[in-house]
Amino acid sequence: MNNHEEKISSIGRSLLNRRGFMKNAGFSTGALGLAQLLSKDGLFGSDDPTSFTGKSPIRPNLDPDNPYTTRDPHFETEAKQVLIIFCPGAVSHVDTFDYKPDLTKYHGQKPPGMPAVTFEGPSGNIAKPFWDFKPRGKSGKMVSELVPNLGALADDFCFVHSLHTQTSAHPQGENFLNTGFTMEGFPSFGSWATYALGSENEELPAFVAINDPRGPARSGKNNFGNGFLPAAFQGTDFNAKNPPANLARPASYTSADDRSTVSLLQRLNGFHLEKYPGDADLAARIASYELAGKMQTSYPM
Amino acid sequence: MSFKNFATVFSLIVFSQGFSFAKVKFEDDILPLLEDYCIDCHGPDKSKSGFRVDRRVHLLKGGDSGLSAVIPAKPDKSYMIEVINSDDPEIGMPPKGGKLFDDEVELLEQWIAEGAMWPGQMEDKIEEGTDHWAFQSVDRPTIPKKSKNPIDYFINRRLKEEGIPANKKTDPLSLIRRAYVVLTGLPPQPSRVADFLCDYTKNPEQAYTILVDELLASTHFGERWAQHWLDVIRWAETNGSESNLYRKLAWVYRDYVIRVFNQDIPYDEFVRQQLAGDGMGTGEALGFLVAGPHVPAATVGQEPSAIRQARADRMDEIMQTVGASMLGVTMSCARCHNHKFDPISIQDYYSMTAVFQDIEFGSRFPEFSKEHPRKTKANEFWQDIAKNRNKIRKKTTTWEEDWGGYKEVHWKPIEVVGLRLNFWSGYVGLDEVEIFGLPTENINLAIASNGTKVKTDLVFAQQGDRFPVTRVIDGKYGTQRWQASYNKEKKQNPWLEFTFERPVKVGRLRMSSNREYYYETDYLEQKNKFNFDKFLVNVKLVDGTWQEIASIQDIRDLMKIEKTIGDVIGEINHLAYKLSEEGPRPSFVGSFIKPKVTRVLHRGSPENPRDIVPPAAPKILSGELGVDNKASGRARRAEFAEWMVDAKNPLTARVMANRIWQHVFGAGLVVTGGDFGRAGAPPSHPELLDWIAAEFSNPSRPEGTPWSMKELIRIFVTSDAFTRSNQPSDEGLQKDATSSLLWRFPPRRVEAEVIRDGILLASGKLNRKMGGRSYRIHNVKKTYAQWEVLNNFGPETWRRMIYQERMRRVDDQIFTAFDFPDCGQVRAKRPVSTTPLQALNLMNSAFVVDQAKHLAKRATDESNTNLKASVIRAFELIFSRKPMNEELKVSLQIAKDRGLEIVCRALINSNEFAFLP
Repeated sequence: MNNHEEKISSIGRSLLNRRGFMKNAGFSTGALGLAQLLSKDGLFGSDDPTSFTGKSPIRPNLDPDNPYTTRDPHFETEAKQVLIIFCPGAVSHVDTFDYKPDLTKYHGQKPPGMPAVTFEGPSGNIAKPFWDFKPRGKSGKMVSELVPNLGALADDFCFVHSLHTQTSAHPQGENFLNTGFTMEGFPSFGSWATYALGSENEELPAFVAINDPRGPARSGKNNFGNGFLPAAFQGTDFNAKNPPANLARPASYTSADDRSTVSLLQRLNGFHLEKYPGDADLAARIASYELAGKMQTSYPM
Repeated sequence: MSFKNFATVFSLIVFSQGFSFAKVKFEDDILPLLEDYCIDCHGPDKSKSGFRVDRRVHLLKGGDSGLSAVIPAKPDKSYMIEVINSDDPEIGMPPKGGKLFDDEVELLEQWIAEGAMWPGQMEDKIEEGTDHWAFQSVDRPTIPKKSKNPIDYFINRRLKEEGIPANKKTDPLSLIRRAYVVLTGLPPQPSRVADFLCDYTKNPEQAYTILVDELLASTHFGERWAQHWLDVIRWAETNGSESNLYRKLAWVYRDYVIRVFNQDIPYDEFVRQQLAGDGMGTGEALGFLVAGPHVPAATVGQEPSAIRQARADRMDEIMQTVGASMLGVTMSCARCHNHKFDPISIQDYYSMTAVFQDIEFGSRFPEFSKEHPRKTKANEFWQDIAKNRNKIRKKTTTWEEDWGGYKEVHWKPIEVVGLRLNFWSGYVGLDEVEIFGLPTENINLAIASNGTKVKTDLVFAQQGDRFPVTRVIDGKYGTQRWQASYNKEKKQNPWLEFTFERPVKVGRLRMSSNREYYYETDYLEQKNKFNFDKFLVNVKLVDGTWQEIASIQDIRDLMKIEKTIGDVIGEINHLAYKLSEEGPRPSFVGSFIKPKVTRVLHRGSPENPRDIVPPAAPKILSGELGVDNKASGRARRAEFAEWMVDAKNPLTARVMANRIWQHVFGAGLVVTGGDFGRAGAPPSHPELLDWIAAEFSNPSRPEGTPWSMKELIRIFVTSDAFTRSNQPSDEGLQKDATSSLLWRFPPRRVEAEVIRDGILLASGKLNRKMGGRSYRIHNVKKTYAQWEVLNNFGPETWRRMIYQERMRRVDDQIFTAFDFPDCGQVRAKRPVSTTPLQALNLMNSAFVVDQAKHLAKRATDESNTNLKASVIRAFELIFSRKPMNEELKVSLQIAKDRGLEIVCRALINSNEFAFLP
């Protein structure tokens, strides 16, 4: 019996079967990330359902007591970190990098085949981009004059213009982009990455979610949640305005109070551990307090 | 309904007609096509999408889509022809290279039309069935007569086979803590520990039996075990999705589950009530079916395809709930194609959705029996309301009441053919207007289905026909409403006119702007907004003349003069509020809709409905229910419930007995408690699983109650396996590191609830009030804002954590980190992780800082302020024991240096407190 099997829901386990995963998840950051992590031959579950339990399934070598321990990547990588900047409601794609000449062609006309009134109200006319597009870089990628300097770097970017979802609602679209599913309860991109790889940094959270100080995106924690994976893999949510909850020493305690608490705690746990020699769960919890202490001193406050 | 043996072989019907007219020759015309175009991917080597073309029976059966590739004599119904002709790159075949030539397609069509003749294979049948263990009937193993507790017989036999020595009995202190936490979720109080230790020295067995009886009878038992069930079905008090709206009074379901466990309602009855309790006087039990998340209509939008998709998603949530909790089958996998691992077809999936076609995510008045306490309470309120109305009638015939969700205007009943509302406000938004007759009558005369017509002047319309006036009489509450505003040219405010089909007596009306928000949700800033104010009610008499019958302005003017009217109306408004708190009011436990005819949705798409399917459970489990698509929703669900608890259904008893085992021992005999299929784990002790399943549903004990959950739990906790010491041993760890064979009681970190409740109990601050509205830690928010934690530590939160508002994917900033589920997906077992965030939350949160102070104060108060005695008392309150000398020495020193509070903070954070002994 695999120890990790019981830690993951059946949906999660069937996700680790390649066909099921690619089919269900489509092409979104969450899905793409996992697909790449697991892309080495044999790391995916077999395509043949009968051998689902026969072949060794790909699961990170996860120690539930030390969930952040570094795990080897499944292929040679150049990237050391992954940074996703997710801008729900950002500047329009058709005014920046997504060249749609038909918008100019049909400028001022009613969109063909559209109802006169939708749930957003009466339909307006098609409008051409507010800036002209020009081919940039060696690739000749069409970029708008709104971003002349970024346009100069056009050859260094990878653009994906085909991404779309089956939903018209914002929160489900956010879920889809960051978890691969429109529905609730699936792990986000960072959660998968941390689950698969762990973290080299023991002093700061493995996966952080820095929310817009004006408020989080519409589907909230789903965008950086752990879904059905253990809570250890959820994004730690903070920004300059809101440091991580409970990181700071409570105002009513002095640093001497803190030191005394920690030293007494170590002694109590030490006595207790003597009764359970070699118990990894107990040792791991002791270690987690040490890590917590390191986090407190590493975070600039 | 009949159950066949589960190894039964199902046969496909083989068509055989048209022999003599065959023009197409299989070997010459058809086989080459199959070999050229299909067999590389759909043959014995690769059978992509579960489909093969190398035998006729495979063609008849089809692949994962669940559609027959070939239906003899019916080329237009044969899926093979459809995919060959399709231009859709997702569907069209072959996927690469050119399409078939027209004459080749014609040949295939003709071949099928002529009966799909395949020489030598016309009589072949396909054998279907399953040899997977979970689908076989439960086979009660025989046990030696003398075994004191049969489960020890199985556990010990296996340990002997593996050569692992079992641990000795644990010490009485560990035993009482273990039993307390497993059964009630709370650690024992020091006084109870002292009594137990004393009794134990005299007669260990008797002392423990008394303890177990006491704990099973405790009301905290239900609070503890309900939590497990709520986890499985990811029950929460919010919708999820963007607005994540609060589900008003959804907690009546939570209280119901607690009651079920406390009263030991047999599991078969629990199943029946949750599937069809609307016919059993336990309507709130249907909260089970709508436990999962859903996207509210306002977010789905008005696109018809989006509305269909959202409905299909909600049905899938119901499938997940029923499948994972009661059946132990991942039904959802069969939503788009036949299940990859289990013998569940796409037809099975949609047949099972047909069972639940009358269920919708929403609120309704739960069906209560006459004796239900909420019912009797409501009768008292209604009598008071009637008395107060009579008081008003002595002063005036017209008045206005505020029922929170709607305004109700009364006048003297009069026979009319029409009714007109003239609004005084420049802007009006209404979701529904209801008109009633005599005070005793509750039939809505305004509703369109009664033949009533409504009209207005289109000059008031906002945005064309976006907000049609017919919405005020469509019987639907919510955001879909009529909106109108002042017209400058006509210098007129909006009006509405109703025309009745025949003369009717009218006496009062109800009007609301968004009654759904009032009935279904709560804690929103703008919840009770009425988008109308003053208006006139005019009626058209039978002779065609108009007459004013009520004026809100006049009503209010009169109230200024006759102050007592205002007081009485205030009383009525208050009673209306009390009724919504304490009476049977709309609760988020599901609403009913007219069931639609169910079709298989090809590839899971609501835009591609195919064959009609009857309401049924999975075929492999003999799921015929004897009801068709004409049956009422309740009849379908009731039949399904009977099938679920039928003695021959092999899954129901196994799944629940295993679940109970899991919550006692930390892991199930099947560790994947929500998936008994081939993708799940096999049982560690197959015979033991069958024995507990059989003993659960059909006890061999003479005094046994079938399906009694408490009795099964009693068998488990009185076993040697449960009472063993949890000390590690080299031999044990080497051979069975996870202790799944139970040579020791597997140690485990306790859940978030146990930590929080245990701290409150130790500090003496635990408020044991049971049930009712959840305690709040969140703000009142705007519809589309996120919930924010405002206060997660104040005195109003000092109840057991099962009463904390259970919000989907909202972090409570302390205990969520302890693997509290996000309630997005069904959860058979909580993962257990250990992280620095947990440490930070338990060291620095306001809750712990505050409770450490209360704990220190209590320890001081209970020890006459002698510091040494106080330290000892703090140990007793947290660990149920006195400190050892060494512990006392270091703790006392820190108490002297930094205060007892710091000692308490360390105790709360200790491993001993966080782990089940």
